[in-house]
Amino acid sequence: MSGLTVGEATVHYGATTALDNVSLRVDGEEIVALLGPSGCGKSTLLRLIAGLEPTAAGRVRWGDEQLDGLAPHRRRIGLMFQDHALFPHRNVAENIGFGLRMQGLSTQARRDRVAELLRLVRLDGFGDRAIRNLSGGEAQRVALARSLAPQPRLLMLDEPFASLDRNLRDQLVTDVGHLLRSEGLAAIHVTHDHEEAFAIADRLVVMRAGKIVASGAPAELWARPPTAWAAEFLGHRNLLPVSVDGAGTTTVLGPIPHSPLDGDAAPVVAIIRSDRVAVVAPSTEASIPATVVSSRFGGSTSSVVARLDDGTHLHLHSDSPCPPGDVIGLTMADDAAVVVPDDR
Amino acid sequence: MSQAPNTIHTPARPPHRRWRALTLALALALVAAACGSDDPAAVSDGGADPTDGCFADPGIEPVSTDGAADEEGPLTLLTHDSFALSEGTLDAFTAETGIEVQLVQSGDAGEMVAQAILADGNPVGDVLFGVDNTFLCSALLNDVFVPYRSGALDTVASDLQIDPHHRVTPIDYGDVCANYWISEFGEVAPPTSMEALADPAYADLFVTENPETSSPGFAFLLATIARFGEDGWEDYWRSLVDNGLSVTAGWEDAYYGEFIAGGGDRPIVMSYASSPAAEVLFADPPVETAPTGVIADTCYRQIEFAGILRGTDSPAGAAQLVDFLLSPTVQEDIPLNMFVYPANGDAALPDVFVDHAATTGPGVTLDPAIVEENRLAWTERWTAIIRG
Amino acid sequence: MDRAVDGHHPRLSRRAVPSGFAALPLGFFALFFAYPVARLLWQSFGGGDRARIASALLGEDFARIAWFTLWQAVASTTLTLLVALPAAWLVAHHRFPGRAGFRALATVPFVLPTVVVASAFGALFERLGVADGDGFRLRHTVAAVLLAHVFFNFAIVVRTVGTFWSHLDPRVEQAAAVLGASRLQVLWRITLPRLAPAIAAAAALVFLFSFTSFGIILILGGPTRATIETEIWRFATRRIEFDVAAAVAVVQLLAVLALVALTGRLQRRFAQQQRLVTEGRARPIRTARQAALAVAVIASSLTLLLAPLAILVERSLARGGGYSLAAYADLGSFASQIGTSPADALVNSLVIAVTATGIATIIGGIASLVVVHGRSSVSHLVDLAMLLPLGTSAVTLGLGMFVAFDTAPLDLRTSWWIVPLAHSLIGIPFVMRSVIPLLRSVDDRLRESAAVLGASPRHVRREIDLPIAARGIAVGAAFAFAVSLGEFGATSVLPRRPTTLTAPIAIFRLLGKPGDLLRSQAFALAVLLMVLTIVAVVAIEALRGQRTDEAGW
Repeated sequence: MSGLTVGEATVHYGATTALDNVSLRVDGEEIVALLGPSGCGKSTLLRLIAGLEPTAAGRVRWGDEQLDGLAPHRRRIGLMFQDHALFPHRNVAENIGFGLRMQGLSTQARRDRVAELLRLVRLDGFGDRAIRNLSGGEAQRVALARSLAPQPRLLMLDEPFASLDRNLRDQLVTDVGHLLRSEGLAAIHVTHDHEEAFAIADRLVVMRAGKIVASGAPAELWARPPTAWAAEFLGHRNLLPVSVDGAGTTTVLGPIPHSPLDGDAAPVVAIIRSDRVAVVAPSTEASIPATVVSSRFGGSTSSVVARLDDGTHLHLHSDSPCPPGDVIGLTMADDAAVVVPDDR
Repeated sequence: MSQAPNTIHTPARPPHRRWRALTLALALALVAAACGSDDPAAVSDGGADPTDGCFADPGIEPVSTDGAADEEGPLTLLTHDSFALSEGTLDAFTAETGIEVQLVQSGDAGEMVAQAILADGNPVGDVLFGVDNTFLCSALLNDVFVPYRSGALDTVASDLQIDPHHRVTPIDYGDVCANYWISEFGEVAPPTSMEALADPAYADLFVTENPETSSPGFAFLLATIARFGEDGWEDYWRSLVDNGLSVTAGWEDAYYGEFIAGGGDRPIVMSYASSPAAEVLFADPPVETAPTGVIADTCYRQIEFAGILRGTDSPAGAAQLVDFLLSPTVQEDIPLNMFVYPANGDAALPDVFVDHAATTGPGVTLDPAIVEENRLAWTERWTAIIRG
Repeated sequence: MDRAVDGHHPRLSRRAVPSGFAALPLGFFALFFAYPVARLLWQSFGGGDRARIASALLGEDFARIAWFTLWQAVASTTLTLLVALPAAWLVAHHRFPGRAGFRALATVPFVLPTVVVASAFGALFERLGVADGDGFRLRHTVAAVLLAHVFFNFAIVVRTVGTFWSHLDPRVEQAAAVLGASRLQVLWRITLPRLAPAIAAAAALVFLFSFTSFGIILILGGPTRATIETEIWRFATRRIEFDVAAAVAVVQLLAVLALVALTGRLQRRFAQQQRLVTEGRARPIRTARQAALAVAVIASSLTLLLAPLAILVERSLARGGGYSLAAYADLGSFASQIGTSPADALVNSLVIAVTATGIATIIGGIASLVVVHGRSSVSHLVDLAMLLPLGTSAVTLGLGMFVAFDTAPLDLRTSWWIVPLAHSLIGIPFVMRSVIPLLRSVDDRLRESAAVLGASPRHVRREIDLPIAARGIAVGAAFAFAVSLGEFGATSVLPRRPTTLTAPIAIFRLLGKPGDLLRSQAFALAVLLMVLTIVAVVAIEALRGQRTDEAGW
């Protein structure tokens, strides 16, 4: 049984704890997106897995193979840095072929594999280019090809698209997703962008302050975020205060289905999923009236901010354009609201 | 194999140096016999007590000239950077004795003597050549040499034989003298005396060397002390300074930096009596007469010695090498290579030397023991004058 | 240049250099520097006269000498930086015809014996009318000393700073300019702080060179100026007072130790990971403004460099009122003044310099790795230790080796090896100061990338550190070569066989007797030494290959 297991790992930097008792599993061909704000320990976790970071406690295994204490170059785990870290003194082909050379591949075998990878990342003919002459996207793809070349069993990508523009990023996210799957690789993709994470990952892992706070398939996590903080980080924008009493749970939108947690005294909050609220004509039966505050046309759907009568703002999607000032109606699906502990 | 204590002997420094110096002034030995100085008695009478200071009996056994004690292998001749002989001269020794000679050179005379003292009985070579009267006492006080009386000494004038215990053997001598660039003196006659150098008529013309750092510079300081005595030399130097004296660190930057010969602008330089001969020999195109002349009144005699180094593996071979240095083969080769006079009175002088090197008579010198005792104090006082 | 990282990562690479690595440079240092110097001091103090030492060191004279030593070194360093930084900028930023020649030329002063340079300077002052004129007189002034120090040390700043500068990513400056910083603000707030590690490295070398300057002080400074360096020589070899000389040498060692520790600290503080570009940033000169600046810098630098050198050439040709090449033709024949032919001396110098450069490059390269990637205690020790020989008087070094290696099997006193070994001690700091700033600026992520791609620590050093530091190694090797070709002080107090007679000493000895013939030969040999330096420097730089070069200085 292959796959990565990180068990109860802890890393300290002086007095601060960068990783606090973190456990993680990545299966053989699974793509995991590691999501979290800057400084939450994502990169530290990657470095730990790669063997670049000494641990205070915990263990790293691949299948039954113990990786702790194994030098980075013996782990067969790839790591692609945010700024690519391409070798400036080598050209594109030499960068890609580096890992192959370390494996002792013959020149011919190396050349073939490099050509294959260049084709794979759609950079045919770029082999002789100098690194400084590459655009951001090209450099990114060279870095990817370089990481893939030695066929690591796990590839980790540390915010690889952070510095790229939106279009390029969308395209590359799709490309990389395909690539990872076609190569049959396990991957950990670090990002702070939930859309990127949704697009690429089989599973999301959300980190906060050195701890893993959520984990699950993208749709599942979106539908049922474990906490308010995680919900916000995953892109939920409608977090409404709730009142809980004997009669049930109520928000300004009315009562919502909710069974209070055992002995729940902690504050809770209701998440209204924008994808489960429909914008309808104000005359629609059982709709909640609202006024459009702003609207951004997005082609097939528009993003709309609507104000309820009590002043609460909701972020929604609408199939038809609705200019600011319009009065609209809102209808909620049964599962549109989720009540979670407020840990913000 | 006697092992000397692992310390370096430095000359005693009396607490009241000034007072000592004054009394010593009375004992200044001016060796300037008017006649041919063939009389050994005249020299030793004029010198300091031969049992005192660096000429005291060292209590070292003379070398064994029994070749059985020698180690196999080549001899090493340790010398300074100014050592020069014609190509193949040393090969004559090998042809004669079957022993090869290797040359090792160690900086200037001061640096060489410093090394020889530091070697402390474990010398780099077998024979050292090139210690002059300036550094002789330092070397003797530190037991650098073992006594050996060469049979060839009979050919050497006795006034050159300074060490009564024969730890060193005189090989050559020369005079340090002011030189002048003849063509610069037309209407004004060139100076002829030491005093003239301080004459305003010759203002800003003279360059000499720092006695602290340069051998000819030190020789000139001694010449002025010999001339003006302990009481008068400082006044003379003050007048030189007032007259626009220039002082350089070494002979090279005096002769090639400030003297006319090297493109400088001063026509009088402290150099050697033999310098005019070198100017002729190394002239290109050849010249009939030297462009420079010598001011004989300024001269001071320097003698260079060779000695067998304490701790040599080959004392008998070393003795043979000292004899060889005094042989006509080497002695007649010395003038045109080192521009000094051979100590061996029988050696024939080359024509260019006879024609162009100044003959300065018997030469002025101070007793090395007195020089040794006052050296540091004199140069310190000299520095104070120059600094003003 | 900084990037967001999750806290401070203890660097992987710190652990990548085994401590055993430090053994080679430290062993070399201990055997060929620490032990000889300790032996010399021990022997010299034996039976020393304490009262005499105290009076020599505590007197007003020594305080004055120590103060002069310090301030002239500080002034020389400052002036050299002022004069050489514009040239460093030029060669780092612009390509112009003759650039390679210019940078080789800058190294030439290094190899010239002081007596020759002093003579050339003397002649130059005369032609400029500033010698023994009525008013201003340059010879035997502090100004002459400082000028000569600038002349000798110009290359150190131009090359160590220039190399580093050419590899700084210019986009940082461009970003600052876009944000509204004026040219001066960019220079002051962005560029100089980024250059600080290289400037500190160069300044330390210039300071040590000026601090231990010998011939220039004696010849150009005049008879009343002395420094700690000249005092050591004077006490040891003129006054034969080894005890006082040793005490002064200890003072010098302590002063240098303090300075080296201080600059090491500064360098580490300034050291930062810079975004470097491996391709140099030099561009052709395009605008009139650039051209004007370039012309100004080149003209002033060439005046400083070329004027004295041109006089050497002229003197080598002058014979009997006219000019001829006869002096060069004579170089192949035996000269009794040096006991061999001048050409042989040149060959000796070349062989010794190649050997010394090899030793200095290997030891200095490994030492640089240890300094940058070793455990911090070992790193500091190596950093400090290897710089010491440069700040140590040539007499201490030469005589130290003389007394230390006096017994078989290490009786090196008359061995051929003692000369290249002594030279390499002085060359090592040059290699290190050229390599360390580049090595320090290598991004850790390049190493980490290589590691996760399967490169062992050894491979990381070979594939990443070495190629990126190659530029620095080439510059350092060129310096080590030049230092060896020109070394005079230590060589002259080491016992020499005809096979270790080097060209500078031959020049000095040819100038030891009067006569045009010898003089023009001496200057011809000096000119050949210059040419040899230029050829060697160009060749060493070419050795490191074409691809990454192009623009690097």
